Amino acid sequence: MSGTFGWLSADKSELDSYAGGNDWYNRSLSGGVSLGWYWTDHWKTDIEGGISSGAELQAYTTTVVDGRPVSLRSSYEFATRRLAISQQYQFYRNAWFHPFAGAGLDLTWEQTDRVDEFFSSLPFRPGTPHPTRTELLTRPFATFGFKAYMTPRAFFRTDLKLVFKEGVDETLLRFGLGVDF
Amino acid sequence: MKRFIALLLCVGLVAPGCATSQTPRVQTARPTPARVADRDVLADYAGQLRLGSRIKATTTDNRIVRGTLVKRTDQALVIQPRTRVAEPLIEVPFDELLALEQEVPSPSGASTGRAVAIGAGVGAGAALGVLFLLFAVLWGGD
Repeated sequence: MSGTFGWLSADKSELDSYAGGNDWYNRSLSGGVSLGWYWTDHWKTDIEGGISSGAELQAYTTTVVDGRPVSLRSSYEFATRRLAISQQYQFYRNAWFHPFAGAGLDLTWEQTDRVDEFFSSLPFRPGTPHPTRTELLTRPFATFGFKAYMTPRAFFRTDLKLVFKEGVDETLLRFGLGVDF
Repeated sequence: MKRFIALLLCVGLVAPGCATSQTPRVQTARPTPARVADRDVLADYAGQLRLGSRIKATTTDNRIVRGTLVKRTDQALVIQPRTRVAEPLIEVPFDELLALEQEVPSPSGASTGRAVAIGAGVGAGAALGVLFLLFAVLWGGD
């Protein structure tokens, strides 16, 4: 069992029609708990749950209002809750330092808040809020990292989790503490 | 002429392969008396090791046992494995022993495993520091 916190970054390039802009949000703090079961000295099934703090992203697109093209700035805020199951392989046996690698399925409930603002010579329009939307994303992921034991059963762990959807869609760098029962 | 050259090339390509495949058979065949000598030499060597020594034993099935020598008989060594969580003693008969080495810890107590663990800890700590710094910069800039 272990508890972790980390730094979440996610690709949102589909929101921004202007090439070259920052299309990743990377100001999200993530926390989670994982429970695992060792089938052998090396193979482990892991179930983890976690949340991430809200992260903002500005996206720019062009739209047509009253027959005139105008720029639209959309302010998004993303927050996630997630559940993941994975199969992991732990290198070495009964050692003080264990690298590991794994792969699994990640279920993410992504909550999105959005406010639009127009930039044009049209009369000023206040920001238009959209209703909060929650979307379930089901994606594969891979993880690799290591555990360093401080006592025979308590350990420090760190890993990098990569979630995929047409390439790397999210990266999560995690640190935490855990204990073997 | 072309046929002859082609035949020559084929023979040239195949011949070294045949020779190579035959070589290990000659090298791997080991006369029995040598194995008996190995066993006796290893038993003699084991007899001179002090109880409590750190040793590395390699068995004939290429299993490596690292640990502390806790008992020695005419037939076998008994080793306490050096692991994170304590494990039962392992008895290695001399008949199954392929190699035996004494491992001497360095005077400072440093070892490869410990060095890796310290390096990993320092690296993780540094990464943690960078992460905190990034958060401070990112949120502090608003």
